[in-house]
Formats: sequence, C-alpha cells, structure tokens
Amino acid sequence: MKRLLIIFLLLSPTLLFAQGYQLNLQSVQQTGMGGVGAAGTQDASALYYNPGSASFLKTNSISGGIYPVISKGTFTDRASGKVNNSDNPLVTPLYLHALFGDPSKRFRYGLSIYTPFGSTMKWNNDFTGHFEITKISLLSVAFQPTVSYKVTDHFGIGAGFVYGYGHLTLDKNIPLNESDGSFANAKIKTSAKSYGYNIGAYYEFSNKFSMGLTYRSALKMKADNGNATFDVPSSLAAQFPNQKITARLPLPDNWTLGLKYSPTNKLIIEADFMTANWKPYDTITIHYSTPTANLTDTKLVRLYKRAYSYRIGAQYAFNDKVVGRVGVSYNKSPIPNDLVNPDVPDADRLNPSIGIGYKVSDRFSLDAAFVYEHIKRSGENRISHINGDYKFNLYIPSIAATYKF
Amino acid sequence: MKNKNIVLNIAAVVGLGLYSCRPTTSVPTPVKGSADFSKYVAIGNSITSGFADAALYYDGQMVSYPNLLAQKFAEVGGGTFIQPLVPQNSVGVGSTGNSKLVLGIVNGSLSPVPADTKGGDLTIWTNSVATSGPFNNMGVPGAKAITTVYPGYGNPANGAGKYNPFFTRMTTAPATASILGDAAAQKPTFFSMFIGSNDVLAYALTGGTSDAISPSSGSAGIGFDASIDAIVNTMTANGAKGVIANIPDITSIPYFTTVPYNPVPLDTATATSLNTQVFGPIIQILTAAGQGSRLQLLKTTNNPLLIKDESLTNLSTAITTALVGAGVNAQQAGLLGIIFGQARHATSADLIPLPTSSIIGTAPSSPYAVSPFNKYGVTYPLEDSYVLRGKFGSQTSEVDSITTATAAYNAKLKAVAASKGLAFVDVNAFLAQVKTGIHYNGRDISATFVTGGAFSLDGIHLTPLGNAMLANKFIDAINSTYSSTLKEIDASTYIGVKFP
Repeated sequence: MKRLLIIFLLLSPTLLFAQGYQLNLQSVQQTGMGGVGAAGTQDASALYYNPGSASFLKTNSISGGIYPVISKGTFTDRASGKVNNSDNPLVTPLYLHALFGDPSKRFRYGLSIYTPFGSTMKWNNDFTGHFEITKISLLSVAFQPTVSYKVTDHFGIGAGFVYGYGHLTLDKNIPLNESDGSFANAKIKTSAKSYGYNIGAYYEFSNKFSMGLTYRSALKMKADNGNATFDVPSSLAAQFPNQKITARLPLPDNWTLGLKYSPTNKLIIEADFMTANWKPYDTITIHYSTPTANLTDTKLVRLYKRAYSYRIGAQYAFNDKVVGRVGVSYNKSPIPNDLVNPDVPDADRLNPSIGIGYKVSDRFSLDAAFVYEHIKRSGENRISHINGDYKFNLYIPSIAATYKF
Repeated sequence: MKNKNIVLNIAAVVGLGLYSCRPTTSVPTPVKGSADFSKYVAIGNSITSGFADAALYYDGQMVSYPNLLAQKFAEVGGGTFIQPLVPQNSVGVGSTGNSKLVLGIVNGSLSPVPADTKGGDLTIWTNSVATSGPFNNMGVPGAKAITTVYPGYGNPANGAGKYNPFFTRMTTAPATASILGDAAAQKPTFFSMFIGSNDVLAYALTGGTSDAISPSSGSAGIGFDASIDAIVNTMTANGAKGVIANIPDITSIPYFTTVPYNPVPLDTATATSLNTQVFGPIIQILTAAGQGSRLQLLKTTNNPLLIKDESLTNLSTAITTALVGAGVNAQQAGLLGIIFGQARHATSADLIPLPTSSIIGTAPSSPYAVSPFNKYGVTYPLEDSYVLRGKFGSQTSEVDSITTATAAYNAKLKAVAASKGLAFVDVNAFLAQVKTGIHYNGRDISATFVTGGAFSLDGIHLTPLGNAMLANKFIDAINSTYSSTLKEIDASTYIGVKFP
C-alpha cells in the first residue's frame, strides 16, 4: 500500500493529458494487441477492460504505464491550397491499475486510474480555421474503484464506480480587429466532472476459450464554473465582459464484446467489438452568465453518430521471459462527413500496433508497445464552411511496469 | 555505461525522427491555362486602386484586388506588379482632400472619424510618382468608363469632371495622356477592367443633384457603351486576354442601406403637438388636393424622414391659401406653404446616403427653419442632395434612373466579355450575396456597416477581407474561362474594420 500512496502523490498535482477524443490506452500489454481486452487481460488492467474478469486472475498486481503521444498534422485549405500545420504539444496519458483480495476467494477489489478522453491541438498562427479554433486541450482522468465477483468457476461479474474529472481550454479568434490589425481572441477554460459506472460480465468456457461483455456508462460532464476571457478592442470590452460559463459535455456510453482464444499456453488471440453511442453529443452549448447583444450562447453543432471499433490482437511467448504482441484496430469515426471541423479532425482509422513484454522476475515485468495512427479526412463543414483535407500522424510509444503479488 | 549511452542515443534519434514526422501533403501546382499573366495591367476606379475608408492610402493599396491577383498570377508566370504607392505612413487623401477615416469614439459611441482632422495628405496629389511607373495598377479613384478614355485627364486646365488629380500624380504626360493610353502603352498580356460604377455612383453620391449618369449612347468619352468598346478593343488589340467585371447595384452597398428611411423617434408630447398644429391640418389640405399620401401623422417611433421631393407638384400656394382661410395668420401660413409645398415623408423606396445620418435632427441653415421647423428630416424637409429619391406616385425616381442605367451597363459589360471571349466577374451578384450574408471559414461576412467585415468605413469601398473575397471571384472567373488552376486567396486571415 505504501508504494501505491507514493504513486498517488506523484499523480495528483498534474492532470492526465491525451490526444484523440476517446482513448483506448489503459494497458500497454493490451495496446500492443490492438487494444483488445473485454474477454480478459493478464493483470490488474482487467479492472478497466472487464471488471467481471478480474476475479479470475491468479495473482494480484499493480500495473502502471505511460503513453507519450506524438502528433503532427496538416490542414490543406481546398480553395487556396494553403497548408496549415498543427504542432501539438507532447502529451502523456497515464494509467495505474491495482488489484487486491485473496486470489483463492471469489471476491476481489481494486482501483483503476486512467485517461478516458482527451485531445490537444495547436494550430499555426495564420490558421485558416482560426475563428473555430486556434488551440484546444481537453484533459481528463477517471478514478474507478471496482469490485469483481466470481459467481461460479466459469462466470464472473464486476462493477466499478467511475468518477471522471476533465479540464478543457479552448482558444479561438473573434472576427474583430484591434487597431493594430490583430484579431480579437476568446478563451474558454473550465473543469468538468461526472459520475458513471463500468460493469462487466465474463464467461470462461475452458482454459482455452472465454468471452466478456462490458458496459461503460455515459459521462455527462458538467462544467458549472468555467471562465470565458476575452481579449477584444477596448471600445468593445463592454460587449465582451469576462464571465462565468456553464456547459455540458455528454461523453458516450459504450458496449464491448470480446472473445479470447488460447490454443496453446504460448499463444493468446483476442478480438473485441466496441460501439460507443455518441448521439447525445449533438449540440454543445456554452452558456454565458452575462450575455450581451454581441455575445449570446455559443452553440457547437456536432451531431455525432454511433461509433464502432473492431479490434484483434495476439500475444506469443517466445520463451519464459519474452513475449511479443501484435494487433490492429479499425475505428469508425462518429463525426459526420459534413461536420468535420478543425477542433477534432477525426476520421476512420486503421491502427496497427506491436508490443513486447519482458519478465524481469516472477513478480516484476516490463512492457512496451507502439501504435501508429494516421488520420486522413476531407470535407466541408456545413456550418463553418471550412473545407479541405486533414491529415494527422500519431505515434504512440508506451511503456509499463507491472508488479504481481 | 557505454551501452547505456548508445541506447539513450538511439532512443533520442528515434524520438526526434518521430517528432518531425508530419504527414506529407501534395497540393497540385497551379497552371496558367490558355492565359499569359506575364504582364498584367488593371483598369478601374477607386476599388481597383485600393482606395478604402474614404481615401487612397498605403495599407489599402497593398490589398487592392489587382495586387492580390498579381500575387496569385506570380505562381503561374506573372511578372512584377507595380502600383503608384503613396507614402507608407501617410493618412492618405480622399476626393475632397480629406484624410482616411478611422473608427473613433464620438460622444461615447463608435463612429468613423477622419484620421487627421486637418485634412488629408495633399502632397499625394502634388508629388508625382510617374517616374516609378509605368504602373500595372491603373486604377484611378473617381474614374468613370467615359473618363478612362479622356486625353488630358491629368490636366487641371480641363476643369472639374474632366481632370483627376489621382491620375495627374501617376502619368508622365498629365496634359495629354489618358488612363487607357497609359495602360495600353505597357502592352499587357493580361488585363482586368472593373469600370463603370462611377458612371452611376457619382450621381448617386450627390443624391442625384449633379454628375449626370453617363448615357449609354454617344461616342467614346461621352457614351458608356462606346467608351467600354474603346477600352476593350484597345486592350485586346495585341491579343491580350483579360477579365471584365460588372458593377454592383447601389442597394448592395452600405452607403445607401445603413440609414433607414424611418429612423425618427419622438416623445408623445412632441408627436401630439406636431400632429395637432402642423401635420394634421396639412394632411387635410393635401388630401383635399388629392395628395394626402405625401404625409402621415407622427408616432413615437420609426417616423419616416421628412424630405423635399422636387418631382412633386409644388402645392405652396394651395397650402398657404387654405391655412389663411382657416384663420392662420398670413406669415405662419406662408412659412408652412414654403416648407411643405414639395415635402413628403420618405418611404422604403427612398435611399438615405450614409452622411445624411449626421444631419438628421440638426438645425438647417435656412431662414425658414424657425422652431418647431428647425429639425432636419423631422419638421424641415431634407433637401434633394441628402436623399436618393425612390419611386413615389408616377414620377421617375433617381433610384429608378440608377437601377436602369446599372442594368444597361451590366448588359453591355456582359456582352462585351462574351463577344471577346474574356472572363466575366459578376460583381453585382457577389455583392448581393454579401448583402444576404456569406459564411466563410467560420466567419460571417455581410454588408452591415462597420461590423459586417466586407465594407470599409466609407460604406462604399471594401476592407482587406472584402478585397480578398472579391479577388477570389476574379480568380474563379479566370480559371473557368482560361482553364487555369489559380489558387484562391485564403481570405480568413484578412481583416475587416479596425476598432479602437
């Protein structure tokens, strides 16, 4: 427990950063295998991937990992051919899973801390879409105390309570010019929080074959104490008073169905199907506490659709010490074609991944994985009329340490 | 230890390598198509010159649409584009010797004010820059289609209307040269012609009191059509390709649409007393003469402006006689007869020029403007120069004359472009679109004065943003006619009006 407390202290002053909108970066082992895990994982990360499977793990463990996400992108304006660059700050989603309880008993418990959602983006100064966004950073962290119960020798269920905390900053230009010709600027900064749950059921047909089903509830992030600050010409300052804002960010619920097949004790093959209901993410309203004639509620029309992910991955043990992992996931974007926007230029993605695990001792192991994501999307937003090609490369190396006890 | 360093070095190299891995983008190289942009000359008026905020000044010239076009032409073999630039830090000069307008705060409200109250930079007119020419940008503020062909348009001896100091400064032969001659002498391979607005606008700007609309017929220098033919034939004589723009309807520009015809509020007591003592009786008399629709009783809000319509039958005598008959003393009756003889309330067909807003409600300098008839546009009619008269009854209106002339000019411009196979820019349609509102890269652009983003503080000329949007219309027209693939300008970083 003492070790855990120290890690907590290190984590607590900083927020967890992330890139992308919904992250599946909660275990380096699973990341190497395409992000699968609903039909069981190999350590305490089961608390996140399927709480129902955690009670089947033969040892307790603490596992922590970090993902330095490197991303660079471009937006090419269709009409002018101007190439805009997005140089995004290095961000590092983190996780920590700890599983406790007597492995010989039916009841286990634990805690997961992870980064469920996130996004950062910083566009160059004369960005074509600067009235939509110049900089965005959405950071979140979830705390999930969890219990897992082995109902029968083949069937387990589990449930976790999720406390989600997020922090959003959003910068954009306002189409008004200062006397020196520079553009006015608006910045919105808010924290948001929400409660939810993560439940899972797990069935082990045999030591070779198992399946799992999980449901993660929606997180209706409430931002009740945000700030909007405006840098506008002084003659218009009265129209743009700095003020409190409120907003709701409904993050989606999702279902995951997973299968695991282990034909030999050297090989594990897993596949997951995930679907996230982004439909509540339709229009995000930023409500100003002190509206003026020129400053009314900002409505961000998103109208996201249901998203799907298909994931498959395998792990092969080369010997007692070293395992290799490989996987791939295909993710269908929730963003409609006519609503692609430079704040979250998401696209359908095919993400290959590889990983390696090294067992330092019976109790201690190290893992590393690497995911490559390429985002390519073209379209005209029917509201902002920003029209062009988005391309992003994301390189996500990761490293984790796991201690079993 | 050594091994560890190697590992660290490799990690650092890999890390840096990844960090620089931006996705590759391939933007097709633009091509010139069947046009040759190596020598581009622009013919036009103030809009072409980069005039904005009621003056010709450096920052405006830098974003003139021909200068913006030339930057895009340069990507497909276009040559240098020389403009008759004014000094960089000058307040500029406008048609009345004024300085450029800036947005200032007057009595606590934002209002356009001269950058220099002492006036504009007259050295711009007197210091010739002809030696740094010839100029690719031959846009001359105030030029009409008919004056573009005038020889000696830079000669002060020719007198008002046939002489233009903005041309004097840029020609090597003010006494004899014409704009067209100086443009053609450069032997352009490509030209643009956006001329003709002033052939109607100059009339409109004076409220229809001077600067008669150029007739369509008549020889070059007198008639619009022949002048346009002269320009286009001369410019294409050596096989040059080009682009022709038509002219906007005046109802697209904020100068004529910002001030409503009915802006007058009154308190209840004033409205009641004016109705009882003045408007009620006068309306009765007018009704008896079959002209009751000229005036209406006053309310507390949105009263129309009181204007003098010179096309109306003068009913002074009838009014005076009727009032005397009703027992009003002769002096009072005579005064009302003079004031209301040709007065009527404005209707939505009338256009109120922007500068009129500053005199509404002020005291006229007329000896007849005694209380309560000392409020311009409320109890004392605005003279013809403050109003562009719309249709009222069966009279031909100033607005109608302008609309008719504009349509005729635009028919001619379109026909010339078609017959010569030149690209055609429908500026009229573009500005109508701006009036409706354009959504462009996350920004709303409209013709709303000051805040719309497209029009500068004079309400006629464009902002940098407006010029960039206009240049894109030229680019689109050129591409579709000459199979070129010029890229548009990313106008989203161009600015509108600057606020203090």
